[in-house]
Amino acid sequence: MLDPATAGVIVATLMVVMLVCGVHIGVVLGLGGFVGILLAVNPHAALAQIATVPFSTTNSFTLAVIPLFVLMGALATQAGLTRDLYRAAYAWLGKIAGGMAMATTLASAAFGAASGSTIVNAAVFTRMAMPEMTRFGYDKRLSSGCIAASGTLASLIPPSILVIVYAVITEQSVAQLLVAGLVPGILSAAVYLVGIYIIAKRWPHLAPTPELNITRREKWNALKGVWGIGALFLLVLGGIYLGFFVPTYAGAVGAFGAFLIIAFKRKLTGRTLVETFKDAGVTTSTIFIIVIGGIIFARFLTYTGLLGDITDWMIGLDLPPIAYLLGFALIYLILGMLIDPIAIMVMTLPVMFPILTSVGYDPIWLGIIAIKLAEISLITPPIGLNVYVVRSASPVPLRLEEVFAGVTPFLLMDLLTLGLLIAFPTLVLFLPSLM
Amino acid sequence: MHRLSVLSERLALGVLLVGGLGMMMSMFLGVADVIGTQMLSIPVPGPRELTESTMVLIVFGALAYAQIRRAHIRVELFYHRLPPRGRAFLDVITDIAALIFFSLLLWQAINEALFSLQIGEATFGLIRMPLWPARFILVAGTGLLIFRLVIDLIIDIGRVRTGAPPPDQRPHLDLSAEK
Repeated sequence: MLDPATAGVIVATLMVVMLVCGVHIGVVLGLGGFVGILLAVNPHAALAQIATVPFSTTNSFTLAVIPLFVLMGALATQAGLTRDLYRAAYAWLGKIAGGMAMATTLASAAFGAASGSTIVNAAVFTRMAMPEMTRFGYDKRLSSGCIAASGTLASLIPPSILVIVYAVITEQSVAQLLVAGLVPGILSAAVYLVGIYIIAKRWPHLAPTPELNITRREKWNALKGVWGIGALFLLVLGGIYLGFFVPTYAGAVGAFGAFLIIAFKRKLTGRTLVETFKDAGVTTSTIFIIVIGGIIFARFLTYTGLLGDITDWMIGLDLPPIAYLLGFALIYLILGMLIDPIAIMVMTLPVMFPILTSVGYDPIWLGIIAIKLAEISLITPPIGLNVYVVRSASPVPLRLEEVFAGVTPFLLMDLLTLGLLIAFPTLVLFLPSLM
Repeated sequence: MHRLSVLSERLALGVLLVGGLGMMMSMFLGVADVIGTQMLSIPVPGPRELTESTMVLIVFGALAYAQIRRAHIRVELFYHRLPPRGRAFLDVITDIAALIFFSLLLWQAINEALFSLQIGEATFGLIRMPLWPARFILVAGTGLLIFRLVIDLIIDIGRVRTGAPPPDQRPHLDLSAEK
């Protein structure tokens, strides 16, 4: 048998080759872990992982929270909630400088309360908000950048699939982490709103205020379509916060609520259900294959002692804690050019979590920071996944450079938010500490 | 070949939809358990155990359909910079890697399922729900995926020669409600 370090080098090489070739990330992680255990331990141990992990990961009550929240998001999308949210936000903010962009941010954040996926959020809002903003004379850079950045809000505002994946891999409380995401999510959105206002005031030609008369009646009418999702959000998050139900049941309650909203809007048809099932089934399945592969890979790191060696070596460098954090931030930025945030977390956490917690960072706080970092990496040049999504989903012709130019101010705002979260950990930890 | 492809697509969609119904069932079970246990103090029997088994159906039921949509997450940065035949070549490598991984998984899963049936494996707790059905669902879902992967491999090998784009490749996100 090979020593763990040699096996590690072989596995790393193999995995990079497979990643470059575009092999599915779950398969890359799973095969990498399998080959690693095969080389460093024995074939029996390697096959034992392949035999047990897929079933134990899926046959799990805790992880059932993922399909249920995915179902909630898919039902909310089918119910046309994004349009209602956008309309409502627009009715209230339309007359303010930069109001349309603010409406996009706010509606995206609110939809994030029902869906957990950044990329879905960005795609949905591009198709809807991009033509609207262009019609009112908004600069394409501002509107596309705003949509790409606002899409990332979904991953902090509960319920967030990323938060759940983090909790599962690091064995932290799903409930506490979900609640911990609330304040940072709202803070991120608030920083965006202020930033948009400043941009619109300073450069009015980028965001002309439309000549509109929105009556008070219209404003209140616009809220009719969205109070349901608001109530549902309070019920789901409140239930988790007060310990009234476990997160899995919060997912069930949330999905059921979205189901009722669809039924109430008379959109409950066989076709809608089939589309919902396709959407939710495919999303769930692709997430789980990555998680299964990631767990097999993590087993390789722990079983062979490789993880212990890496951790000891890195802690032995005796750097200040912030240096470790910045090091991982850099890795996230690089990985964000290639893969989506769930895969980033699954790949890095087995190493990152033990190191950063042993230099003194709080596990719950770290989860929120890791997710914020993964999301920032999605809009960072030269290659940000969300930027590509916005460009390819846009009905208005866009060049990649335009989206990157537009997203840059939002990137700076995100760095401000991240700085605040690092300087004042209470922002993250206050709510879960009361649970 | 075409008929096999259509057959696998129908099967995959069928299993996915059954998984979707399972998702709805876990949703109703969860709500029933919250209302029954917390509000009325009437415990609903076995919701957690049923939800667990249903999970296997949801995940492994949608596996083959996700492959047909080519929705499994991968690094596409280099892929998109290649000419069509280069892409087809990488698709062949992807198919082979997936076939190796999932064949190992299928082999082990069959052993596990047969063993589970033999010893009558069941959940612990008040309700002793048998676990072997979920284990066989895992086997069936993986088997269907492998069936589809073999079809894709044959198609993709053909594409290396012709340079044709992959069939039924749809946009990454099919958000039909927003069209």
